[in-house]
Amino acid sequence: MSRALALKSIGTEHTIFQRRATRAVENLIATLDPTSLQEAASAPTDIGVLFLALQQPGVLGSVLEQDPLAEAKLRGQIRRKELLETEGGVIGPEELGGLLGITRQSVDKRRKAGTLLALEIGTRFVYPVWQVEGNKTLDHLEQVLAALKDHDAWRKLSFFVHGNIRLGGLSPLQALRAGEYEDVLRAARTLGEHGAA
Amino acid sequence: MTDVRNKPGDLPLPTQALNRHKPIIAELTGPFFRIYRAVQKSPIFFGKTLDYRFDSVAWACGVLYASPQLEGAFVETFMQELGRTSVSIPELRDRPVAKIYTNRPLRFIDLCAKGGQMRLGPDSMGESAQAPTLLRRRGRMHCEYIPHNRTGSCSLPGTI
Repeated sequence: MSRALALKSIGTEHTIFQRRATRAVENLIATLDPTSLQEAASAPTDIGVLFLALQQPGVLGSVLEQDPLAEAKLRGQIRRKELLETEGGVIGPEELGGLLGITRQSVDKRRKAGTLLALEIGTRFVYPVWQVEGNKTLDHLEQVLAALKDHDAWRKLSFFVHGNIRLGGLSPLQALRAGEYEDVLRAARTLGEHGAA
Repeated sequence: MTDVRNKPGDLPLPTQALNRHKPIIAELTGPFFRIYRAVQKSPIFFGKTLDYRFDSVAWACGVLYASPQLEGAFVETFMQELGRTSVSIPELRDRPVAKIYTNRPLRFIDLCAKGGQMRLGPDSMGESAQAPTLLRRRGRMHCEYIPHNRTGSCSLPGTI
């Protein structure tokens, strides 16, 4: 696709998105009562306004009629936010590079090679800070990430920070810190496979 | 009849240790549910990786994990993590459900019935991977399928 065609395509997508998003917001305004509108409008961020509005009972019923999975998807977004905040949260590539003593380009290279875990948020990548201990990456992080290569980044993040039945309830992160690398690797290999819990 | 890949292979007969005990036998007709990776795996997979809880430590046989209940299969597949309350849509798309029918009832040793493990005794537990077993824990079932003959077969109606 030529650059001109690509730009035109992006422009069209923006227009469609803006039109549909605007229509969705107009529907929200028409559905919400004044109290609910006031509550949603008090959210600290613009995106928070939408989240709060979508969780109002009157809206939810209407949304569910159009998409039965809407409520689950909304909960999923909230879980993603919680995941990002776990174990110290996330940082940008420059900050991560600073901790590891490498350039941003090297961070990008490691991300692409799958040796660092990165989450794509909009147009940027963020990195869970727990990947760094001292001035190096967590011991055996690369091997565990390699075992998880068939999973998406969110699934990998969930794996590392949640307690795991195959690790006696420890999270893989805790187990790695305790030096239980082999057990973590085994848990990683069986992730998402039907096996006895 | 669908040709079944990953057959258990040349299975040993149930361990002789069972002759000393009176295990509780459960007979199930199925169907059984199994969730599998669409890209890499067959719906029927007798694993010998030792990565799973009831894999045969002696590599005596492959183990198929399945559940008589769809809910059980779901939990066994997606809920390895404690407190995980969400599953992504791509993850679900990548994992079809196979409904497995057998061409005759299967007999299992029930380790979860009251006294089921006691009847086998501690020695046999170590050899349980060589015997047909069915385990029920916390209301879910884990099936180790070993057919009456050595080759075994299942009919696969496809995914649901």
